[in-house]
Order: sequence, then structure tokens, then C-alpha cells
Amino acid sequence: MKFFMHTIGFIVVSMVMVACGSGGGDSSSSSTPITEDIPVLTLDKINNHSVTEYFAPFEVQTQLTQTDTSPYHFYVESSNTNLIQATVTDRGVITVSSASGEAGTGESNVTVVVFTLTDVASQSFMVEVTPASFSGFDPLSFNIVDDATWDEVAVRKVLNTFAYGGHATDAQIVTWADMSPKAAIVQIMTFDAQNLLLSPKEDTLPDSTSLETLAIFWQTDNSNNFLDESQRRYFETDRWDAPANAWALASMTRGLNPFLHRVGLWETNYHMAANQLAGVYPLPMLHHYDNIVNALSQNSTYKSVIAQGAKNAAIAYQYGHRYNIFTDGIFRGNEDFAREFHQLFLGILGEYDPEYHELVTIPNTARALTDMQAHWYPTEEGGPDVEITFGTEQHYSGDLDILKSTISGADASVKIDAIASVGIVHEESLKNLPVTIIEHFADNNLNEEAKTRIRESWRGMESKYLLTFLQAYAISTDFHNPLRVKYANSIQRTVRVSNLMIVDNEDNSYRFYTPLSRLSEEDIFLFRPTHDVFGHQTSVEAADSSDVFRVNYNRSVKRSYIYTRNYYCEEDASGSCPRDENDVKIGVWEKDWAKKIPADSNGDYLVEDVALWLWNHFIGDGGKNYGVLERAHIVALLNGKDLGLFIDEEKPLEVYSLSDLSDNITLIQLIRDGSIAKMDLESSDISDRRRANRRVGLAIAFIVATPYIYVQEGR
Amino acid sequence: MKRRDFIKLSANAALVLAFAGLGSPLYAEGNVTTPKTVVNLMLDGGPDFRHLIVPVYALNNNDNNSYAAKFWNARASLWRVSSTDDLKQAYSDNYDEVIISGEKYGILKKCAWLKDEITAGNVAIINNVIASTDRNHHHSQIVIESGDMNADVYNLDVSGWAGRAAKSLSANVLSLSASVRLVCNGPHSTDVRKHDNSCVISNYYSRDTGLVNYDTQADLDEGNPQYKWSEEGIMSRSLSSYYSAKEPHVPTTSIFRKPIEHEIKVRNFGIPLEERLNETPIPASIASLRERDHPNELDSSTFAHQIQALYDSYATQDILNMRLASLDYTGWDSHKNLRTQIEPKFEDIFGRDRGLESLFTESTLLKNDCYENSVVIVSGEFGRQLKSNGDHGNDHGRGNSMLVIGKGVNGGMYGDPFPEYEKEFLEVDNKDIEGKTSLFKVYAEVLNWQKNGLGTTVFGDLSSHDVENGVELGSMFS
Repeated sequence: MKFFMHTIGFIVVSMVMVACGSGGGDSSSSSTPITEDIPVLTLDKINNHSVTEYFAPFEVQTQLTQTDTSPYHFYVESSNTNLIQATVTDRGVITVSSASGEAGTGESNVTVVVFTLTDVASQSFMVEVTPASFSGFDPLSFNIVDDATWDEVAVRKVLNTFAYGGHATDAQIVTWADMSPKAAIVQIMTFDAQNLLLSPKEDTLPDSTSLETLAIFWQTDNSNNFLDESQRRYFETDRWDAPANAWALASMTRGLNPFLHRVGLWETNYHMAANQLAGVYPLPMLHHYDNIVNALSQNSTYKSVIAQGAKNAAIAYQYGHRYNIFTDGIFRGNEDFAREFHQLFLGILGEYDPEYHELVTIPNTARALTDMQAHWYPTEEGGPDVEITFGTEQHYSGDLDILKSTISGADASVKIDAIASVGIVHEESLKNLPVTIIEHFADNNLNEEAKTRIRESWRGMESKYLLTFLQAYAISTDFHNPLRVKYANSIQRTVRVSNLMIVDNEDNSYRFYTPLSRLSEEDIFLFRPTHDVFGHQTSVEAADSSDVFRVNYNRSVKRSYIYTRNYYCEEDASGSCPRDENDVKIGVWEKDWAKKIPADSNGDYLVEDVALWLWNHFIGDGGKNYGVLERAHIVALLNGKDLGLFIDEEKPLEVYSLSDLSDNITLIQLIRDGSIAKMDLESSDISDRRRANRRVGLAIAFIVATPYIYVQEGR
Repeated sequence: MKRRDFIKLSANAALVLAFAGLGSPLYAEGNVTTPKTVVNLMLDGGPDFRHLIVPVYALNNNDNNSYAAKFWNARASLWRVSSTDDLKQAYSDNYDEVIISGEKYGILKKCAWLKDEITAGNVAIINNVIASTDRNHHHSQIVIESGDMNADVYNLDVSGWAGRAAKSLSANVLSLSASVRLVCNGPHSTDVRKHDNSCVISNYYSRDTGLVNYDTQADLDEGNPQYKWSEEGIMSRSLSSYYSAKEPHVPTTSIFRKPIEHEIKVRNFGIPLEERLNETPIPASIASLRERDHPNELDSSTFAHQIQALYDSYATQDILNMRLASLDYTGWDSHKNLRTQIEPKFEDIFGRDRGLESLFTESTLLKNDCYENSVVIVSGEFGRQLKSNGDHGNDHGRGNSMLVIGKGVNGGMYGDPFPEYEKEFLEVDNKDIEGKTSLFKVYAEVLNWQKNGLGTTVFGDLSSHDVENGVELGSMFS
């Protein structure tokens, strides 16, 4: 929860309340203000987002759940960096210290925590409550980067790694870089349906994490639906490509949350993968995604998220355990998911006791998964059940020995919860699961020291929250480390490039930038993992594939229009586009990079500035790899030519070496001249604007085919 | 400086070596001997070879204690029947008889080509093989592809046995699956925990391998100014020029080196491959494997794609310097509905006019010594349990069988396919095939056929690895 107080006068205070190791998200509030005469901010649900006007002094009040045992932490951060911290234990009394004179007092009992900021004058300010995790301030066992390291490049690396680049404005990126990493990361990484700092809002969109809800919205003629009518049919939820279409657009739409959907894809296409090629129908697949993402957004513990995945109908269709039954003292069914629940979902391979795992845990887990009813019906009859019905009649109702624990429960749902609870703290899971997560998201070059910190961080969370873990890692010295290497898989690369092409939601209206067709060229189909249940293409597979390289390279050459398209007109019956009085085709959509690329102080767009901006926008390395060669080629393209043509039209095939471009005075001067040319991105002449936008596209086509698009350095 | 001059000056030694002998005219005329070539076909998921070759269950077999009777009863749920007569009928309806090493067995009728090859003595069936001792797909795949019993399930950055073999042969391994499998990974020159794929060529898209190269020179020669405004021309020259100039400045240790090497490889192979394949039409029988509604259309278009890619790779073997090829076929994890799941796959590979038959028929027309000088290894990460489950399938086991196919192979059974001692386990849950022969030893023997001593070079000392009593793996090729 974060409180932004826009105060009048000299003091600008923001307060962040942070709880460690305790979700609280499932709690409902029926609390009553302790003090009648001052306003009380009641946090009904930590997940809720609200902006409310408050008058100081005020109180913050929330409930602890009955299972909460960890302390809550309260922080008050003022503009002069003084920090007030209040630690509240379950039955303790808040104590607050302050270096700046602001004081807070509070008290708590079993269910209610109250924090009162008493010294702020009675001024009006807005209080914004966001579901930021408490973990932002809990480094776990990671070492957090210092403020000097936490700069714009560091922020961009986080965005590129965890949010497909995000849609944050340049100003917002600078703001985050100027904040402490702890304060910034809880704004960057949230599990809300919408994260308006990461992805500013332009339209009124459903405040929902659900792909099904979003898909339904995108089918409609709602005035806020930015999709052109021609595109809406692709979101009919019984289409086989509906999950992929909805996911891609959700990830690319400004006003939603690309980080949330990045994590959603990991859960459903890698970690807890279901596969449409195995007969999982679109709606059960959408529910698989939605249920998991909803659990994440509700700040559920990770064991609950995993249990939810295991209870989804899609998984039962995938593995076939929907037929597992126990009748007349006999088990009938298979052991497929019984094994993979442990191995894939929890990271338990059975090394702790191979014989026991094979002969006891797996067969018994198969029995725990009995009477999970999901019936298949053809689409014309409503399609397959989208959720499981947990029965008891054909369920193995007795206790089961699983993972050397006794698992009880009247139905499979209860038993799955119990297995997840035991599994998430199993030694093998503690060893494997966190490393698997970090390897997927961020690092293909983990050394043992980093693995140790990752494992200790995970182990140290009494209740394990994925968001807490990822936030802490994303500002750790392990992430911002020169040794870190992350190869981009096809999904990560194409979605990031697609996202970064979007300047506003109008760019989504015709889905010109959808990554799905690019992915299909690389043989990648979302929700159809290449390795069935073992997940989609890995980073290493993509990096090793010359096919992947070739397809991406050729895309920039043969189909550069993907990047250079600068308007779209609708042809009439004769195949012609309407034209204006100047005989210029009238576009129903215009590319407008000026909305994104900043002009200089004179209002001009110098080639040099645009080139560097584009490099940082798409590569995000702060210009580290923006060398003489890269600069020369991009400058030439922004002038509408390739380098050979730009330097000598009679010798277009000439190759210019690094030393040529560094030492040859004539060439240096030519590039310099080209770099100070002005681009017509805001010209009043539409043809000039289109030409300028096309040239930006040429530069992008080049940048996204360089070696730097395929792999990210840690620092 | 022109692009081609840059390449001469800057491409690293390994890559230059890889391009040696591009496009020999003799080859195009079919006069070049096919080098000994190993084709590894990985069946992902744990293929049940005991559904492919079974004990004969004769109508007059009334011995309920016979191995055959117990075998068929243990697997009755696969056939959705329970009576002995129905099981015998299932056998009769679905299996042909074949003599292997003097004994009679049943072979799935859908695998008519395999039956012919077995009868011709071209198929070694190695039974009771094992590598990984667990039943974990992912780990077991890493173990058998890396050739390392101690492989880390979470580390894919290691070399594979085919990659190591290719490196040792100063040749290339062709990755024909949609993704590059771990088995192809070459060894890293300095760090054994990592891999280096300079000896790997992805050739799944065998007829679309090159980089788009706008022909600016043609425009110049014709006085056509199109090269100045064509986006394809601009981007083609831009990226080609950039990569040429960039290559010398990206050290081999750089994390950005892989794309640089891909560019060199793809650009330099692309043109000669395209020229050769333009003169090598796709044979009708191979094209039909991917032709919708054709009687020979394969169940898996991906596998059909790989068969064509392998045909094309044979057609361009001199250019590609191919000595090993890697294919895969996924989806063998037969927990449920085994018959409908894996029988079409077996037929895709071994059926009449299907994958391997079409491949070798056509490749032999292309190069008459192709089949003689090729060995196809067909294996999976583990086998299935002896008893079928309640979902008309069977669950993970450990031991399995595998096939080694080729005209140079001494066909027959290597190891007891249906040992009598199993009878007591056939009705017990969770029992599986006892692994007796190291799968690595079989791979090593195949590599030794390719080059004497190569097996040891690639797998190291396998003296501690077992071989089933009475089995002489060395006789597979003698």
C-alpha cells in the first residue's frame, strides 16, 4: 500500500506501509476506527486500488488474518529521506521512530492494526492505495543495489526483463531511477490488473486480470474498445487462438499490466503448462490462466497459486486424471499428473528418497487426485466444463502418505491444498523451484553463490509470495550484475519489440504489431508449448538456433514494413484508398513516433538524438553497445538510406569497417552531417511526417536485428 | 571492401573449416561416397516399444502361466478388453508375425516397413537398455542426450554426445527438429560445464536456409535505380554490411558472439544450399507425407517436415559436412489411451511408404550408398511399467528397448525381450523393465562404427557400464 500525499506547503510526505511475510490480501475488513475524531483509512482489501482525499492527521487501519504471524512493517518516507518505521507484531504495540520530527503512534490487537500520523497539519492530500507488496522493502537474502547503481539503465533492464519493456514514459523511468530501488520496484512490479505507472491509461478498460473478461470486452462495440471492428472477431472465446490473441493484446495494451501477464505466461506456458495441442479447449485454457493470475493478484501465497493451477480443469484434460477414481477399493486412473504435480509444479523430483517417491508418493498422489470431474462436451453443446467439480463418492477419502507426510481431505481439492502446503517447504522444492524461476525470467548464467542467495531468499519467506521474491531479486546485486546473462527466447524478444512499437492504443487497433504472427514464423504458438507440459522454448534453445536468428534477420529485410508502416488506409471496392485534396491517401491510422520520441529544447528532432533514443528504447543498455558502427548505420537509415548508399550512391555495396568510420575524416564528417539533420516527425505536411516515421521504422528494423536484441547483460 | 573479402579475412577458423568443400560438382552427380552418418531419432515421452514388438499370443495358447498370457493380461486395459479370447483376437487383428534371431514375435501390422527391414536383417533390437535410473522425463532426456549419468536436471548448458562426436570428426551435426536438442550441443573449448554450437547447423527449414540478399549488383548492372529506394535493398545491404564489419570486433568469448556466428553460418551455407536444392526437387513420396488428405500423410506434420529436411540434408551433405543428424518425435507419454496415442506415431516412422521408408528409398535414388552408410538410432528416455493402468495407458518405467537400423547393421535381438522372470511382476503395480544394458554403450558402439574409438572419445570410459549377459554389442556391425 502506498500513500501519496500531495501536501500544501514545504513538506511533501509519502508513506508506504509494508508487511513482511504476510499477505493479508485475503482478509476482509470490518474494522472500526479506534479514534472517532480523525479520519481513518480503512483497507478493505490490500488488493484494492483506491485514491481518496484525506485530511491529516489520519489513521491507517487494516486487519491481520488469523494466520498472520509475521510482523507488519510501516514506513513513512519524507522528501528529505527521513524514514519513520513502525514495527507491529501480532499482539504488540507499534513503536515509531522518526529522524525528522514526524511522529506516529499506534497500537494493535489481534485483528486490528492502527497507525496514526499525528504531526501533519490538517491539510488536504490524496491518498493512493495500491496493492504493492510489502516485500518491496524486504530484501530477503539478497543484497540490494545501491542508489548509484540503480539508474535509468537499471530500470530499463528491469522493464525489459520482467515487463516486455513496459509502457512507462521516459519521465517515469527517470523518476524511478531517482527513487530508491526499494521504493521504485514496488511501483514497477505489481500484480494489479492495471499498473498506471508501468502502463499509462488512455481508455477506460476493464479493471480485470481476466483474459476472458478482456477478450469479451474486445469483442464488443464499447466506445472504449480501441480495436477496429475488423479485429474483434479474433477475441471470440471459443476460437482456438482466443487465449493467445487475448494474452498478446493484454500484454501490449496501455493501461493494463505487462508484468502481470509476463508472469501469467510463465505460469501457464512454462511452470504449470497446459497445451492446446493436447486437446485443452480455449475456455478451459482461459480459465487456467485467469484462475492462476487471479490468485497472484489476490496476493495469495505461492502454494495457493500452485494448488490453484493443479485444480484447474485444463490440467485435468491435459493429463487425464479427471478419470481417476477410487471405487470398490480399487484405484483406476493414471499417475501422469501425480508425478508432474511434484516435479513440475513444486520442483520435487524424488531425489530425497527415490524408491519411496516412486512407490509411495506418486501412487498415493494419483489417489489424492480422484473424483475430479471435468466433462467434455462438444462446442455446440456448450463446450467442455471449464472448472472441476470435486466429488467425494469416487474419491479416495482416507489419509495418504505423500512426501512422508499424512495428507488428509474429503476431496481432491483439500488434498491438493495439503500437498502444496507440504511440498512448498520440501527440501527439494526449496532447492529447485526458486532457481527455476530466476533462470526462466532473468539469468542463464547463475553461479553457485547466486543460487545460494536465491534459495536462501525463498527459504526465508515463511509464507512464500512470488511477487515478494521477484521484487527483491529485481533490485538485487545478483540481477544488476555483470555476470548475469539472459538470452531472450522468441516470446520474450518478439513481445518486447512489439510492445516497444506501441506509442498509444491506436497502434493496437489493427493489431499490426501483434507478436503472434512473428512467433508463428519462429514455430512458436502461445498456449501450445513446444515441450508439451515441460514448457515452451527456452532461452538457450532460442539462442542456439540459427533458424531463429535467420527468421528474425530476414524479417527486418524482407518484411521491414512491420516496422516502417506509417499509415493505413481502407480501400474501397475498386481497391483504391480515398485521397485528400493534395492527392494524399487518407489514413484511418497514422504512425506517430513524435508521441513517444522527445524533441530537443528547440522542438527539433535531430537524427542523432532520435538514433540514441531508439537504441535505448529497444536495447536499453544506456548506449553501452551503441558504438561507431551502430551509430553510423542508424544515422544513415534515419536519413532514409543504408550506410553504403548514404556515403556513396555509386558504391552501395561497399562495406565500411570500424576503422574506416573511426579514422576516415571524410566519413566522419558525412556521418556527422547526417546526425544533425532534422527529422520531420512533427511536420504539418502529412507526407513528410509519414516519411520521417518510415525512416524511424528502418532504424528499428536494423536495431532489432543486431546481436544486442538476443541477449541482455546484467550490467 | 566487399562483403566476400570480409568473410575471408575475418571468419573464425572453425567456421571457415565448416565451409570447406562447398558444392562439389561430383556430389551433384551422385559420385561422392556417403560418409558414415548417424541419424538419432529421439522419441520424447517414454515410448512403449513393447507395444511395437510383442510376444506371440496364439489362438491355441491355453497356458495361462505362459509369458505371453501374462503379458497380454497385464496390458489388457490398453485393448479395453479383459477376456483371454478377446486379447488373442486383439493380437491377431493388430500384429503380424516376424522371425527375429530365430524366434517368432508379433510386430504391429502398421509397421510393415520395419517388418521388412527386420526380416532383411537390417534392424538390431537392443532390449533392457537403460540410462537414467529415474522416471523423470526431463532428467532422463538430459541424461541420455548429454551422455552423462550425473547430468543436472536444471542445467541445459552442457554438451551432447552427437555434438561431441561431430566436433571430434571435424564435421557438423544437423539439427532437424524444430528446436536444437541438447544432444546436438558441441563441447565448449574451455568450460566443460558449457556448450559451443559452432558445429551445429539448424536445418529444419531446409529449403529456406539463407539470409535474404537483395541483388544490388544486378540493379547496378542493369542501370536499374530500384536498389536506392527498395526497403528490402536498403535493409539487406545495411545488415549485411553491419555484420561483416562487426564480426571481427566481437570476441569469441562475448555473450553476443552467438548471433554473429549464426549470421556467418546462415549466410555462407544459404547460397550453395539454395543452388543445390533448386536442382533437387522434393520427391513426390516425401512431399506426400505432408500433403493434406494424401493416403501417406503423416499424423505428425512436424516429423514429416524433418524427414524432408533429412532428405535435403543428404542432398547437400557435402556442403553441410554432415556426419550426424538429430530428429525428434514427441508425444509418446502414453498414460492414457495408448493405442490411439502411439500407434499412429509408430506408423508414421515405420509404416509402409511412411517416414523412414520414403526417406531411404528416395535418398538411395539420390545417392546409391546412402542407406548402406547410415545408421538410424531410435530410442526414448525410458520405458513404461509392465502393467497397464486404469486409463488405457501405462505409466513411467525405466528400462526399455531401442532400435538401431541400417544396411550395415547385423540385425536381431540383443538381449532377452521378454524374460521369464518378469512373469511374477506382470501383475504387480509399478514394476518395470529391468535395465541391464547401458544405453550409452549402444550409442558408443554406433559411434565406433562411424570411426574407430569415437565412442570412447565421446562417452569416456564406459567399462563400469553393464551389458546384459550374452549380449555382444560389438557384433552389431561386424
